Amino acid sequence: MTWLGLTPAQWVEYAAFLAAAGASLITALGVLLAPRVLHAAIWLLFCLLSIAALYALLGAHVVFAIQVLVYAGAIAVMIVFAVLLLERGTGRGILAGSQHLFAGLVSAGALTAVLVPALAYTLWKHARAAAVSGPDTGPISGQAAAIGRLFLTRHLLAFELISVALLVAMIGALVLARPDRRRQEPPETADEAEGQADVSQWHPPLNVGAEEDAP
Amino acid sequence: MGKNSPTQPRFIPRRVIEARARGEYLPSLSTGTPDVPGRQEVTAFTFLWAIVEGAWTVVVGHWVTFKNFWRRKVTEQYPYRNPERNWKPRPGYRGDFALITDRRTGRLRCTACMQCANICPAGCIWIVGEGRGKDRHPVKFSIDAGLCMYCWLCVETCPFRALTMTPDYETAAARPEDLIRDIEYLRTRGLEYHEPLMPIEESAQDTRQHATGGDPS
Amino acid sequence: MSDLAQWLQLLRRYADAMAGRWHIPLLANDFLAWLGAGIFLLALITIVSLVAIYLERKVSGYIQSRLGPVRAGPIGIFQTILDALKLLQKEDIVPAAADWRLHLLGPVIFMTATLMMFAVIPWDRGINVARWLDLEIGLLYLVAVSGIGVIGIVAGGWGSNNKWSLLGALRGAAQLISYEIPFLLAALCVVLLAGTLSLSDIVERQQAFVTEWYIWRPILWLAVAIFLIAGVAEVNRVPFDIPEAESELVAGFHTEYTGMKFALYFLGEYGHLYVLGLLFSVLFLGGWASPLGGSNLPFEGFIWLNLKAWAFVLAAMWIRWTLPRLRVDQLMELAWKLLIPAGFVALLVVSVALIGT
Repeated sequence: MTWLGLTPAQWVEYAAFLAAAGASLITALGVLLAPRVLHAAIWLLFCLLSIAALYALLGAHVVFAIQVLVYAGAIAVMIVFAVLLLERGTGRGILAGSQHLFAGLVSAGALTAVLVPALAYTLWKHARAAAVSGPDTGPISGQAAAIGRLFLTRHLLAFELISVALLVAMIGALVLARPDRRRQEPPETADEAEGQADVSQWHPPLNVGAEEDAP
Repeated sequence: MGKNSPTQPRFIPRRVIEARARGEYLPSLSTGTPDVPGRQEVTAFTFLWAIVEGAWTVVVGHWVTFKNFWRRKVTEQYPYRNPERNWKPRPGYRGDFALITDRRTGRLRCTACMQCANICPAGCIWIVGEGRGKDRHPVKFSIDAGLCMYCWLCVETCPFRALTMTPDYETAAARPEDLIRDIEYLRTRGLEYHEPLMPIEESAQDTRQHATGGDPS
Repeated sequence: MSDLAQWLQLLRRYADAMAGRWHIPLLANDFLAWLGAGIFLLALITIVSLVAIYLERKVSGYIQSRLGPVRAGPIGIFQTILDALKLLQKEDIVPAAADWRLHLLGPVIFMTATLMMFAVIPWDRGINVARWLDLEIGLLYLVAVSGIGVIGIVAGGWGSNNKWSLLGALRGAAQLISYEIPFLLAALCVVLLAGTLSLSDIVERQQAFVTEWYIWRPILWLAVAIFLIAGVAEVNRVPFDIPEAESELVAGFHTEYTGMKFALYFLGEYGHLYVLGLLFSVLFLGGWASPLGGSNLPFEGFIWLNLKAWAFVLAAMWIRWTLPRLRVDQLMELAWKLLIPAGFVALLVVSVALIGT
């Protein structure tokens, strides 16, 4: 049973693809246009989720789960967390938007210049491969095992390098967040100064501890 | 107030305070109990032992609640269960009001001296007296239970020990004006009492004995 | 093929026949099947939450030597239904200075995340909500989706424009991100042992006999303990309920919520607890596998899975009414200094034990 040359399953797939792709575009626009940073972060969350939906439609379940786990579940939450801390710390809302129009245009242009040829190359290559051996529908099962095997064999170096980079980032965050131990706070009161000078001079109130000494 | 009663501040040995002042106490996760004097080195053993000890206390706590789960419940479903039982509040409970009748003369002890009405913080006592000298007695005596804050000051201040509060607790009414106790009501209530009920200190003492004397389970 | 599967197949055949009679296109029929699955899940979560809240109040009462709800119906069984009806009637209040979009989004995201977690639970052999949802990476999916719920807490807490809500949201975000790691590490031990991420395959590995359940493997006991602690922390229950600590933050992130929005948070929380129970029974208690050997009872796997999950839910209630609440820094210390290293140790233990095999 077909309609306009497509089976119902294909229709479902197309509808789902259109929904996910449209949602990702609209939410990406939302990220750009939202006036407040927190709204932009929530838009970003939905953008990441709709891209995850695209992965799921492609049958790439592992990538889908990693996208949701890492980007939506961790990174978006971290962004929101940071915004919450900053907004309440400064007492006023942070407005989204950039004052660096030129730098933004240059970086966006550079990204486009890299991405478009890469996409075009991939499409061209796959179209040729499909012309030779029919459409490549890829395996649905055994993906996780295959990806794991690739990580530990062919891409071992890259995998380890990335983990080292993450470790460096973690240590860097620790160093940045650590309070400076070398700088001593000046004592605020005379008692405190005395205490810092010689702790043994500190004496507890006389009534406390009297019971212990009594027979 | 005994030496070890809970209202006293907790006793802390002097050497513990001195050690704390020297900053020799570490967070509870890293060491055992915080009140052990002397420096606690964080070794692998103390660290792991703290974990084992904490896990054991969790197990003990769960055993306590598990036992409690199966114990008899103390909820009294008044008045839906055992309505015929004589429910008595704890001594010292202030529910209703009563004027005490003198047994010898058969008249109210009250002399309408207005001391209770004057001391009442809520101003809920309203008295009209009649007669002079020994004949002085109240004609009208109203207490508005809706205004009363149950502070016991009127009972305490009464020089003739004529007024009391009773442990009756079923005093609810549908309309606020039904909460006004007039003199007839108060006299009828007071027929059960020879003397005002215990002042608060004595009844508190009694409550303690009550609480420790009977195990609810 | 179990009874549940046969029953579902029958239902499906009936739906197909109906579709043929009413000339509904097959696509719409598929859609109807999915809709039916969604409605089933919603009804399940609602019923589970009502029962769980009733049980919670009863358990708390019994532990505190009280009776709990007794007035509505025999032994109070209609209490939570009446409470739900009351919540339905309540006015939906949005604070004047609140960000109403985020205020609305919070409970919706929270509930959606919980709902999505149910998708990969194997209810019986080969039975998921939909057949294509028996994912190869089921466990990864479940953990990933549970992470989205944090956004619901943060959005609700921030959108309420209330300092208590915001503090609760911040605490909630920090707590849930932290406890996801030991949670995942504990689940990973099972994955190592089973050699698969698929929940139904993990159950298949344990279903032969009771002794095959993973909870009887001593090398997994550390993982079981970590999973219990981190799981209770994931659902924001006492002793880890600092996002809604009543004594400090009024009601935390849902202080400003009334009516059905509040009910959505409630449903999401108890649904999350229930799905954690399901996950615990799938990972450690043999899922739908019967401890008595197979029988011909209808819905046998479904019933066994639910019994095990409810045992977990009751254990969580027992924990809740026993232990006092942790302080924020103690909570973080527990996660980062104790549970995560312990999780790595558990992973190491399992890995070393697996070297020989």
